[in-house]
Amino acid sequence: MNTERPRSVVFGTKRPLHHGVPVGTTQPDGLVERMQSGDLDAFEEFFNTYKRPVYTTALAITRDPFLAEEILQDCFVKAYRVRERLRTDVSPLPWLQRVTTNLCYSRIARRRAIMEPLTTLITNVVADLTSRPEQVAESREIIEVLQRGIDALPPKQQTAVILYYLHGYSLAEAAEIADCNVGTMKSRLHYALKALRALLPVERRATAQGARLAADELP
Amino acid sequence: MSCRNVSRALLERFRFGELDADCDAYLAHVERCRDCQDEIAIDRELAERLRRALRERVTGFEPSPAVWRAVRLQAADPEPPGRWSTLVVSISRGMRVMVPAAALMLAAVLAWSQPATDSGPLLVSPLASRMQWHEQLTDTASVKDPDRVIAVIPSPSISLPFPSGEMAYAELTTSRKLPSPMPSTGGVTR
Repeated sequence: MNTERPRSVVFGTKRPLHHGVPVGTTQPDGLVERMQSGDLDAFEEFFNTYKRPVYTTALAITRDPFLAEEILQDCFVKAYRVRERLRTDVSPLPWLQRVTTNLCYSRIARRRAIMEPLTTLITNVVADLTSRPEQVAESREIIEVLQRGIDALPPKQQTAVILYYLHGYSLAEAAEIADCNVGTMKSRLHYALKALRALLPVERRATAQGARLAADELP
Repeated sequence: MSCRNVSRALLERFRFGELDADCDAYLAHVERCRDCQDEIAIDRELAERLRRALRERVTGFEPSPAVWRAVRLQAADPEPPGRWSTLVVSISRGMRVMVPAAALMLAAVLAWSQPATDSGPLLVSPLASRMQWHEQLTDTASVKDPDRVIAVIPSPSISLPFPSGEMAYAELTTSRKLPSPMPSTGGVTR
């Protein structure tokens, strides 16, 4: 297992996107320097460049669009206030994502009791119309189980899952954001998948095997 | 080579796309073993469903344009004071109230605890106070230049009895100078 800690990960050259969130968000030339000199237009450009991945992370963790906007706002206000300390030679995205996850979990700790999963509404609306009704129902059930399972994951595993499977960051990028080494990131993903798999119905945990056994029993 | 070993070695490599030449032996096993194929298939299916579940959490949502306005507004504000400076300010505010209050309490305790005979009249009696005031008033009304005085007309004096029924403690007199040809009659006390 690789235990080397990534030091200077180049963001944005890795895997394809499936969800429209830009993985490759590299720092435009001199953006942070211009922001450090007090240029508010540069700050607006900075905001527009990085708002989407930050908001996506906040929304995926909190499942509350309004809370995600608050976190987005707090994250960029903080970025502006500490702009003198931002590095100009690397992308600020890992730092922004780290601040975002920290803000999310500090807010969730206070609001978890009153949070209502909005995705219940969304997932009931969104349906795969190309599938047969029984498949749609089964698929919906599994997605719902997974949503609850993601919510129940420990924060570090939840962050790992969101960074790797939602944003599509590489292991090294996700490890840099989570401020851990690659081996730790792999371990968090492994235990997260193991926990999610344990939540699935027994027949779904061994679908292929069950289908093969059933096929073998046929004359 | 057992399926357990193959599963452990290969699942992560399949999961993270890290297959290389070292995996050839394991891959050869997987090609023959349907249990291992199933394990890998289930893991892939789980990952795909997990991606879908996560995408559903964020699909259709965009941050409002109002967020930027709020960010810009807050960023224009001066930086809030830090924790230590806030603590110092609150302590100084508290001291501004507590120090005078403590001084007053100390003075009250000292005045209460010390007898008046030992340290002299800490608290001046009302009678003595009024007498002093009367003397000052008389001095003020005294004639400085007798040649220029034409007459001194006394104003009515007032005697105020104590509530207990005692006699008046002093006579309150005032006088003023008036140009008058009449001889002075001096002060008259009723």
